[in-house]
Amino acid sequence: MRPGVHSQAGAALQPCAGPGQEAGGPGADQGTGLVNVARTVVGTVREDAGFLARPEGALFVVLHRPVDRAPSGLLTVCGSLFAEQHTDYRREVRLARVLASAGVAVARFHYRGVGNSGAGSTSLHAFSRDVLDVTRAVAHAGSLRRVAFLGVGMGSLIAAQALFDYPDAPLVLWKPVLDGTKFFKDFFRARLAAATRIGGSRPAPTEDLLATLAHEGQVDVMGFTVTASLYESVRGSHLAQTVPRQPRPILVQPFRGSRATGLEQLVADWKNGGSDVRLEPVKLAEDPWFIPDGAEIAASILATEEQLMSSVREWLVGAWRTDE
Amino acid sequence: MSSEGGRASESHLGCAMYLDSGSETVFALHTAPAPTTPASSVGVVLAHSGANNFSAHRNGVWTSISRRLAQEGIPSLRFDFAGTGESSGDLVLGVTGQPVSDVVAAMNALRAAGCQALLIVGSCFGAIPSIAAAAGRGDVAGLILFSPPLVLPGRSRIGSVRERIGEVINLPTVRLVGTNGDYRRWFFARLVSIVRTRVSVKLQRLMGRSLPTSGAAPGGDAGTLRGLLMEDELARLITSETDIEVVYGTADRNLAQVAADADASRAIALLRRRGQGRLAWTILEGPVHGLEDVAVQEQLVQLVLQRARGLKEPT
Repeated sequence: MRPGVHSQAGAALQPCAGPGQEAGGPGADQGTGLVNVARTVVGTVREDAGFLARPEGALFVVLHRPVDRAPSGLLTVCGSLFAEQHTDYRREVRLARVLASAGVAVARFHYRGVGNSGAGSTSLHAFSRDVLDVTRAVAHAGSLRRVAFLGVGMGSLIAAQALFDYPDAPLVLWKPVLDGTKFFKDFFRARLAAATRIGGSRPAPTEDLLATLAHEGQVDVMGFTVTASLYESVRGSHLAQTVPRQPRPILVQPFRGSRATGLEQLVADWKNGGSDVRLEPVKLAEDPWFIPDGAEIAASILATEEQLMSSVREWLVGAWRTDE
Repeated sequence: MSSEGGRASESHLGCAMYLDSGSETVFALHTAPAPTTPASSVGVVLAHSGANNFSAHRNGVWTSISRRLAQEGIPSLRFDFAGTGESSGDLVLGVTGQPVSDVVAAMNALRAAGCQALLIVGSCFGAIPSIAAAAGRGDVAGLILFSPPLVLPGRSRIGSVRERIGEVINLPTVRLVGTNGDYRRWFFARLVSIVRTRVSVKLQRLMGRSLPTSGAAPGGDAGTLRGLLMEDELARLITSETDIEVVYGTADRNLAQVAADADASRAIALLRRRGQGRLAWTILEGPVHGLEDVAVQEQLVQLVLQRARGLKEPT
């Protein structure tokens, strides 16, 4: 082992294709289902980062588990997209560490075509297939019977699709996107604010942008590539229609802002359908279209995030306890 | 052509790593050329922009660079600063300490993988610890800095007098002044320039004339000359024949801050003159800061590929 590098640890892991070595064979690590894995321990949490090999392209996955016991279940995080992914990234890592400390395994990953994952088609359907690939592989490798999903922003629509394969799975939603059409309408509109901020020229009208999207198959929205396949799959999607009808525990945590509008009716509908729903607004206000500049996070925001995470921990552990 | 599944027929091999960096653990992704592609002895380290960022960078630009480099036989390593992405700890925005240790850990990992020379690419904040880390070693062939914050808001108030003296008079500097004629000439020319600027400021204040403050950062004192961040390190790198390319966009606030700071502008002009072409200054149309434009992203990818190729096959 080279000094200062711990790409692998533990006898159960397959050799990692680290620097200076050949790639490992096709066999995945027995405990995680991943290949080219690195492992570390943060506090009481064991973290494995690696790739889930799939014919369509490898998925970058990080698995967080307690070091001292077998996990009671698995939460798969369906992350947000575009600028929001950056804002949420560290929040999701911290949640994963909080939950793993409490005995819950957490799988986080990048959708194919996004971040560190392999190239692939981008659409709601493709992303929900990624969610299912990760969940099945990790649950199988760790013999985890219970599964739950967290949908963050646009990830809410993706998590909702994955629920069809897990009818009883608890669902947590952070600042859920209720209406895909409105999501993109607001995203495209944010280009105006961005142009003003950097002193650039007025961006092309949305109609022109959509014409380019249809013609070229993708457009640049503030430094993010939006593909026609993703746009078409999200447009017209509504969370109300996407979440399956089966009753399940649902924790909804809207942040401050326009996305909170319309949630009360949705929650009422889910309750009428027999789901055990808790609506817990969070005092976090953020602009989902821009990556905040600088590292300074006010103590009050950190405290609110801590509250957000401890709520999820207590709710999820409680939901599974009720299930026993 | 996806890659990380470990199949030998693919164009590149990706592997996750955790690196020790002081008391923290830094996450990194190493991207190597496929075994069928001859590997270059040059490796590229990619340092992202710090807060609210992770190893892939905006729109997966770092991922794209890594994979395209691997196709040309050039290995790379992208990582998360402590307190960002998958790494442990809290982010420290500083020119010393943890962020520098993180870049050093990434450089060492790439060297341990067999790379003899390194090209370091730092974006925004990530450029600053990259400069600091590169200045302390002899294996960095080149640096590319995307919109570095070379003039910080309120910089003149950051350090105590003692700390600021320490920035100028320290062991590496004294050693270089004693042993390297080029550096010695630069050092004393710089000293004269600073004294001249300070005297000029005092005189203008005495005469009641205001100094240019256009584009001054919020919180900065009007009329305060702040100077160039990492000036000594940049000078040392140039002296040791490291090629540095600073890239700004016309829309970048960081460029405006450099332009508005007379002391910094003068220092850059002096460095460029002394560097005899080793310090390139490139301005692209649009925003480089934050990589907020896909077309600009592609220009930056091409620039990194071109520079890496140049180091791989020196002319």
